Amino acid sequence: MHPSQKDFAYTFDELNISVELVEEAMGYERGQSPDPIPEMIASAIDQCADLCNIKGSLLVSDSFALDPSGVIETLGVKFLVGRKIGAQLKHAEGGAFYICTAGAGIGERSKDLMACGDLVEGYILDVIGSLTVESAIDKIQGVFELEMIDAGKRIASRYSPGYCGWALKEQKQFFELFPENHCGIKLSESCLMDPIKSVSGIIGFGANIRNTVYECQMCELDTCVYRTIRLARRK
Amino acid sequence: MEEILEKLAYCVEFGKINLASPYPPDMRGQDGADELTKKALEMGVPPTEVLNKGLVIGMGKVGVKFRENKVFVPQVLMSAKAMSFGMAHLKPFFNDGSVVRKGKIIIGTVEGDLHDIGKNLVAMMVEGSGWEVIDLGTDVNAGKFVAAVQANPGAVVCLSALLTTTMVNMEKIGKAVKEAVPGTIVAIGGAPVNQDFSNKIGMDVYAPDPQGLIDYLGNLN
Repeated sequence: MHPSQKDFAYTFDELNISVELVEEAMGYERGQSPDPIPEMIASAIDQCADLCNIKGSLLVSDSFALDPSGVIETLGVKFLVGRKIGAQLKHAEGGAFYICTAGAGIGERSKDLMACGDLVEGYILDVIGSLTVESAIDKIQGVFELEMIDAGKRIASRYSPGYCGWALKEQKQFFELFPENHCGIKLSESCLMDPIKSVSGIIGFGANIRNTVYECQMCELDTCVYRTIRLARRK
Repeated sequence: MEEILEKLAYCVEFGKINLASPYPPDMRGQDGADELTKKALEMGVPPTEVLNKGLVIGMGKVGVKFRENKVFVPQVLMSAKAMSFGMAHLKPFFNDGSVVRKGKIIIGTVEGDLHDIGKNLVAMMVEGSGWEVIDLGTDVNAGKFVAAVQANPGAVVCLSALLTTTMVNMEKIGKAVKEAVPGTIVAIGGAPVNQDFSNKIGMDVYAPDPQGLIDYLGNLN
C-alpha cells in the first residue's frame, strides 16, 4: 500500500450536534439542564454554521516501524508516543495519522463572549467547539474503518499527543507529516494547536490489531471534557 | 436587613442578575443581585455585611452544589455573573478600605497552557468567597508569578493546568515563587493533577475543585 492522504470537510449540520448532546457534554442528563440553558444552547447551535470551518486530513501509511520504547518511524518522520500507546499499537501494520479542526471562528467567538462578560454563552460555544471537532474526527475514523474492513483489516482506538504518555512536544515531529498550515492548523511555540478546537493523533490498523482499550480508559484525566464528550457520543 | 441579605444570597445562588433578567423563571419581574445590593447599601447595611452575609453566602452554596454535582459549570457561571453585578456596587468600598477582604490570591494558567475556563471559574468563585483575585491569565511563566508575588506579599499563589504535558511546569513555577519569596503558599489544581503530584513537587495544597480551594483559604484566616 502506498501512503495516501485524504482531506475531508464537513458542514456543521452534517455533524448532528443536538441540544441534548451539548447538555450531556456539560454534565447534565439529556433534557435535564435547567432554564435558560437549553434555550442558550439552541441559540449557540444556530450560530455554529457560520462560526465553524470544519476540515480534517488523514494520512495513511504502512511504511511503519514501532520500537519497544514507543518510537514510531514513518515516511521519514520519527516521534515518541511512549510505551503505553506503543503497547496498544504493537500489532499495527500501519498508521493513519490525522489532524482535524472546527476552525478558528468558534474558539475566538467563545473567548470574545467570555471576555465581555457573557460567560455562559462563551462556555457553551467552547463545549460545542470541542464536540464539533470530536464529531468530525469520529466521521473521518468511520470512513477509514469501512475502508479497512473492505481490506480485511481492523483499526485500533485513536490516540493523541498530550494524552496517555504521548508528550505534546512530539507534535512538532508529528506535524512534519503534513504540509505546513494544512487544514489551517499550526502549532504554537509550546506545541498547542491553533485553532484551539483542533485534534491530532494516530489510528493504528492491521489484520491482528485489537481495539480493546480506548484512549480515555488509559488516561488519568478524570475531568477531561473529551472524556465526557466521548461518553456522551457513545450512548 | 436580614431579609434583603437572604434575598441577595438567593439571587447569587440561582443566577438572578438583575430585574431585566428573565431567569430563574420563578423570579421573573423581581429585583436581582444588582438592585438588591444597591438597595441594601442605601438602607445602610454595612458593605462588609452585604459582601459576607449576602454575596459570599450565595456563592458558597453554589460552590458546595458544584462539588456535589448538583449543578454544573453553566449554573456556576450564571451565579458568578450575578455576583459580579453585586460586587460592582461594593467596588468603592474596597477602594477606600472600608471593606477588607479576606486576603489575596494570584492565579494563572501555567506556561505553555492556554486553557482558561477552569482557572476563570476558580477565580470567580474565590472572589465570591471574599478574596481579592489577581488573575495573570494563561501561559504565565515563573517570572510573571514571581513579580506578582513580590508586588503582593502574602498573597496565595494558585497554579492551574489542563494538560499532562504542562502540569510539569507547576514544579518550576512553584519552586521559583518559593525561592523568591520564602513562605509563599502555592496551591495547584486542574484536570491532570492530584494530591500525589502536589506532594511530589512540594506544593502546599492540591484543590480538587474550586470549593476545595475556598475551604483551604478559609482555614488560613
